[in-house]
Amino acid sequence: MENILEVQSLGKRYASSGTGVVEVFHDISFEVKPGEIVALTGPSGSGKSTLLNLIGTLDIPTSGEITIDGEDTSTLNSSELASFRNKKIGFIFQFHHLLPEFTALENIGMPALIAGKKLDSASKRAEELLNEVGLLDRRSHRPAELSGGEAQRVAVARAFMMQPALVLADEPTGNLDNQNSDKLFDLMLSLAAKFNQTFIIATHNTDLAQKAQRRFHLEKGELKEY
Amino acid sequence: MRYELFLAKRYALSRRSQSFITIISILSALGITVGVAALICVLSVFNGFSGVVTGILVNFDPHIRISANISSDSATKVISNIPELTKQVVRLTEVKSMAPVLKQKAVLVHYTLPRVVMLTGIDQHDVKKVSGLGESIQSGKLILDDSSIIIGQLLADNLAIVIGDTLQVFSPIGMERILTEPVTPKTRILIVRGIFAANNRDYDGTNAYTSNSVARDLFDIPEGSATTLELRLNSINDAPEVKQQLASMLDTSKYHIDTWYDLHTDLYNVMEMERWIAYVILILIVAVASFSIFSALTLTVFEKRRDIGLLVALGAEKKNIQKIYLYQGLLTGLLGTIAGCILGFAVVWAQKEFGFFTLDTSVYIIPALPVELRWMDFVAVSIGAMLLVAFASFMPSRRAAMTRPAEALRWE
Repeated sequence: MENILEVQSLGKRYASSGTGVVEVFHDISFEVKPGEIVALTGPSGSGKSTLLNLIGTLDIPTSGEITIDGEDTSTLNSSELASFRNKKIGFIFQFHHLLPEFTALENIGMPALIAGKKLDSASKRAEELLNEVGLLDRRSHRPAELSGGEAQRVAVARAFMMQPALVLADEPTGNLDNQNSDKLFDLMLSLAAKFNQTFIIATHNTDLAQKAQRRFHLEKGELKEY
Repeated sequence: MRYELFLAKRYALSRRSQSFITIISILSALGITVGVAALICVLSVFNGFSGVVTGILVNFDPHIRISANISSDSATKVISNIPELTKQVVRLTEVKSMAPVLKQKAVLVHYTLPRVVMLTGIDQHDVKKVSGLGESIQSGKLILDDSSIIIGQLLADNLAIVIGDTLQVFSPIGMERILTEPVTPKTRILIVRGIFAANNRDYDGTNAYTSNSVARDLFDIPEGSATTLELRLNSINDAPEVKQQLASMLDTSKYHIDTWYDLHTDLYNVMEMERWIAYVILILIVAVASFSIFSALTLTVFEKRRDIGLLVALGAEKKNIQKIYLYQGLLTGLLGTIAGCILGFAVVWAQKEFGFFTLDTSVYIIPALPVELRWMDFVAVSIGAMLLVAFASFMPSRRAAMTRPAEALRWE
């Protein structure tokens, strides 16, 4: 089976006004197969978000290559990268980042709108996803009218809208209490299994990480699978 | 609808978490409304006054005047073949009527009071064809025979002339030789038969009319000649086109052709310049309101940086992000511009219908502020306003496009 994600010799450094250069990590390599659920753990500041941002093409690596679904992302220009992100990558962030002026349904359909589809044609799939996360009756509600847990569930549904090759979740339960964290994590895992979705979930919650099929630990610039 | 416009509309019309930005946005739109409405009102007043002035002048002036080219070699600056010229001009279908006119400066003396005037000699039956003199007679009658003269109201007031008074008219022909030769200037005694008021101080104070034959005698102009051929057209708007046709038909080395506009170019140019100055000054109101849009949009982009980061994560390109915020600014400006056009139209319409702003009729010849709506003013003002709004929206929208998604989405 071909890998859905291949990371080779990845490195990231930032220029710092104080110390000159800050190296987050260097020479990280790993592969992920389709349908795998991967947990990425590590202490705060270890670079989990940075690694996800690089994989998600939201940032540019200092060195190394990232191949997603057979595509080397370093060969894509900015326009191609935008289209690639839209179709191939779903994001779930620690904060739901739902657009406050839009309803739950419109938020879920946003990736389809960006892809050039009309809201009417995207609504059907958006409603299906909203139903999967148990919020179909809240379709017309705006984020301010949803609880934190409900908003995060809408964000999860949005990540699945374009049937991406890969879903990246950066501390998706970080803003929730323990009960809601478990519920959300279980929802993500069930959706991943249902849609055969590949997941990379960054979390500092080792209990939740145990539920994933594979676990990586990032610390002091080195990535190890355990 | 493209999603950029969909998002921009929603952003522009929704209330924000920070009401301060909402207040600035509303004030920006109101500022543009006021600026646009003020511009339309002021330009409409300029149009109105321009219409009044043009109406007064055109009533007296011919639509087209053909005169001898003063740069020609001819010793006498007259058109010497009026019948032949008339035959050519009459072929133009746009020409309604025409008349030969003899026009020269002369000196009027009432008792011992002299005055230099422009004396026009024209036939009685021609005067109504090419001039509004007939409608302007305030006292007396329009009689242009060999003993009569018609003068302006201001001239009559200045020389204390009443109907029935006699005036001595001196011709300037030969005046240049008076110091070296015994020259007796030509003179005629004429009776004031009528006094006209053109509502134009220039005309009322310096013009006088008499018969063709009196003028011909005073100015030594032979039969078949005249100083000008004056034309009235079926439509005054045809004047530029008729001028071009005449220029191609006639020998322009011998003739000079002026439209009603050319006869008072300086005045019309001054009026046009005043319009432009008013436009430039008042568009500054819109410019100030546009700076408010700049502020509101800049604050919005700062407030929305996470949303921008999210949209980039979802696949939006920089140009899409820029369009969203550019459209948002333009929508605010468009709302203000439309409201301003409606308000301006309403005010001008009300003034036209009801004359709310009155004028002192002892000073002005019209009872209320004259206004005239022109659709081109709406177009020019709207385009000017939207260009300013687009300029003001450009920088914040560009800044939005430069947002780095990784930094914007970092959870703090």
